[in-house]
Amino acid sequence: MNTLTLSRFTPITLSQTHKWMLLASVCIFALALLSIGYGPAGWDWRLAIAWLAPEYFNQFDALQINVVMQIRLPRFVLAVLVGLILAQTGAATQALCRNPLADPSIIGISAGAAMVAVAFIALSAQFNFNAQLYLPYASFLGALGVTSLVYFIAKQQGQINITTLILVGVAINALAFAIIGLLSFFADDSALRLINYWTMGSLGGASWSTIIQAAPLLLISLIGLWRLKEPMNLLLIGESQAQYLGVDTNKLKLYVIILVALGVGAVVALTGLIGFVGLVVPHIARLMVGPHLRNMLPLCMLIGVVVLLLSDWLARIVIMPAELPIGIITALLGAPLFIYLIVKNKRGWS
Amino acid sequence: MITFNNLSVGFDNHNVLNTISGSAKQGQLVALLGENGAGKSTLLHTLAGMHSFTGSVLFNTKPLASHAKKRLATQRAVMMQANHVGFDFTVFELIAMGRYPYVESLKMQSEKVHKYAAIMDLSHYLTRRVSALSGGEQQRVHMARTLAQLNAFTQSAEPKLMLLDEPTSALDMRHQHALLSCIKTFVEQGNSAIIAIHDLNLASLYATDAILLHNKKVLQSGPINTVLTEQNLQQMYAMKLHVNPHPYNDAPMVFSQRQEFL
Amino acid sequence: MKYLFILFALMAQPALAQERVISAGGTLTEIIYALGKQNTLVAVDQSSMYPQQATQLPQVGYYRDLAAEGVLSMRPTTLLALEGAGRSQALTQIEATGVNVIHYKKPTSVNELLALIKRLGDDLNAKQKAQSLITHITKSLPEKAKAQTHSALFLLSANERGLVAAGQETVPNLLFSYAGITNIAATHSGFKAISSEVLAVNQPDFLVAPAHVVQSIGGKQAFCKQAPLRLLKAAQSCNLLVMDSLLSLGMSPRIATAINELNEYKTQL
Repeated sequence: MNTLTLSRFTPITLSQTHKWMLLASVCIFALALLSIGYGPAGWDWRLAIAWLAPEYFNQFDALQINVVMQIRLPRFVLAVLVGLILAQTGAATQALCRNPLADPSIIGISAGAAMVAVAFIALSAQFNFNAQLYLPYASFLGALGVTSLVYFIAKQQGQINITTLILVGVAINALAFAIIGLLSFFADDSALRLINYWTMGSLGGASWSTIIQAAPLLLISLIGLWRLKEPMNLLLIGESQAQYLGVDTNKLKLYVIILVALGVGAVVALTGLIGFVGLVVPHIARLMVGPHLRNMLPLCMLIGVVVLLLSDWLARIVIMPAELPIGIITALLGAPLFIYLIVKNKRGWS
Repeated sequence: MITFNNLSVGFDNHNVLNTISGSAKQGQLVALLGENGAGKSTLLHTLAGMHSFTGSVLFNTKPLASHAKKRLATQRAVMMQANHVGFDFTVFELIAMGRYPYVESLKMQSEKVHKYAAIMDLSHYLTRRVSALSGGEQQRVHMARTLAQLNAFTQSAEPKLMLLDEPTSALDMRHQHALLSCIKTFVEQGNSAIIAIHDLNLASLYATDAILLHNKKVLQSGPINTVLTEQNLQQMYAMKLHVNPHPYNDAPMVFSQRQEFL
Repeated sequence: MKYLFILFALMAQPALAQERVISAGGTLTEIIYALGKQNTLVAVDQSSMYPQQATQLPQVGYYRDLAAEGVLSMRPTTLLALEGAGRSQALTQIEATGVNVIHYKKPTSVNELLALIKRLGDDLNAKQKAQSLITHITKSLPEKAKAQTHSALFLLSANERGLVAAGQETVPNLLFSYAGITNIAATHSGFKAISSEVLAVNQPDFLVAPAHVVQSIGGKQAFCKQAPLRLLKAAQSCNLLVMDSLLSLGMSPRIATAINELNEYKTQL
């Protein structure tokens, strides 16, 4: 018997799920101290609490406290939100497509966001307006627009055919990136660079104002998908079975698609493209506590936060005072961890 | 308790079922018989609420469409032949999924799961992954889930309905009998079941009634003893079949004979 | 809340703080060194590759995507930002902590370059040096050629994926026009792909390529032998001028050197 998945769901003792969640929470707490305390402008864990009462911490000057309050704290909050959303939307997409290899980009969401964002940047050069200010909204609308298009194409006789959804998503992905290529061709040098940086992902744009602006969208996605986790879970055993168990699958699929588009669109608008998290973090959670969303989803979201916090911190300090794009780090961190878990689990199977 | 009248079901401009009528009343275990492609699965899924149809389907005297989804789920359950689940849930988790239509505490849910696992002799398997079980064991898990969904074997005023599509096809003889006798016990408590089944003898041993589907229509329906005749079978399967009484049980047995190829 | 901290920051600063300058933009950095003001530089951006000493300084990222905390950790008093520096969010945060952020337009002509040098001279308190630099450049700048005597092609890359050439509104184009050289790739703007077929009909007299590109291919001969260039007579006889990358791709105070290099090369062809 696989010790990693022992006593799933028998509510008598502290279950495996709770143990993993506790571990993840401890990691998050440690990473909070790490990411708020250590950085190019100050290397001390006490910075993580000094901002609460700067009078008592004379070793830090005003600039450092300001850096913590205006740069590191918003970045921390953004990393938490992004981690939660990327993990949850990944798990939701996998439930929707009944496929553990699915992630939001497979139904064309990130491509849609990227395409509109790039068009926006290219046009801003032509018509001379400030792209960076309105980029988040353009990107979000792009995500929602493309996802709606894909959804309507995939609807047959009132039912959403998942296979068609995936195929159309693949086609849209190809089209979107072709259009991005085309736009890049006509873009001038500055636009080109902006496009490049945007596709590599970064939490550098985190500020209280951007977070507050995006918060409603993020929260709707987070809370909405969380409340749908029981019926989403039933999709995993087959759509007809879910229907026979009383789930209105058409409505459910619609809601899931919208909520995933909201969450991913908003995140992509804020941070650019951060790949890998939506695909692998649900896998990791699944390997720890099994596929049932009641166990897996909360753990998955916590692991997403851990991955994001650690990746962002590393992105900030590896080539201090410059920064690396976060997408590179998430891949470098996640892949070996994933492999380790697969190997460990394999030995546990009889 | 389900009745259907003048039911027609079609896809892409051709009819699969043509104005058929029938029912499954309380205490009846109805075997749905017919050759391949006769429409058994279609009928089952239509009665479950999956396909659109012309005609009427009344479930517990009310039209099928008028039942609220979740409420309906507590009264009728569907068990299908191929129950492959691509994700490795545990036995406990899979049975617990049957409790989705019910609002209850986790503790209560756990008690129910243990109850139905015990009925299907799965108490020692609860933490095992379903994918690690044999075919027969997996069907038991699905049956436990179906029973859990219907809150079976509890004091209940309302009659429940089970719709099963070839539940025994992949099982060995022992498990086939175990499954069908479980369904029979369920039915005897005032419920009903409709089972699409190929094995005529198995049907004969456990079913109370039968509906014979042939050429998109109902050839005959009624108590299984009266319906399983050589004449009917010859018409349905286009081959000579013999019906003899079972030596120990009061049920007709069907014998085929060697055929010549060409 | 923000203003409280600016106040706090200003009060906490010791009076007459030593100037700490960060330069975001290769062109700006080069001019700073040319003005002799490099002792105030504490960090530069990734595009500041000339002179050699500049690369020894801490880097705060590419000028279009500066790391806010990285910049602030160097405790600058001033940030010199070339047009296009960003992201705007980061610049706002930096400015909010009391750093003096000065924006400069990117020069697209020699006159604009001289104007930039003058402005930097004013802002860095090096008026005299700026003036002498301007004079030096103006003197060493050859006369703008009246006639176009040769044609050339500036290649940023030439590999299996095709040729990327400098069209209009690029520095190589500017250098060419000064040296009386027709830019074969003037049909497009910026650095874009150009078809080798078009070039076969409209042949350049010689090729120009930046040093870092030629080096990565493996030298002059290797560059000339690349497949997409095989129809070009200039490639066949390897009439290739290899220029210093920054010199040829950016507007630099050494612009006179760049133009002279071109003039010399075309005369000896």
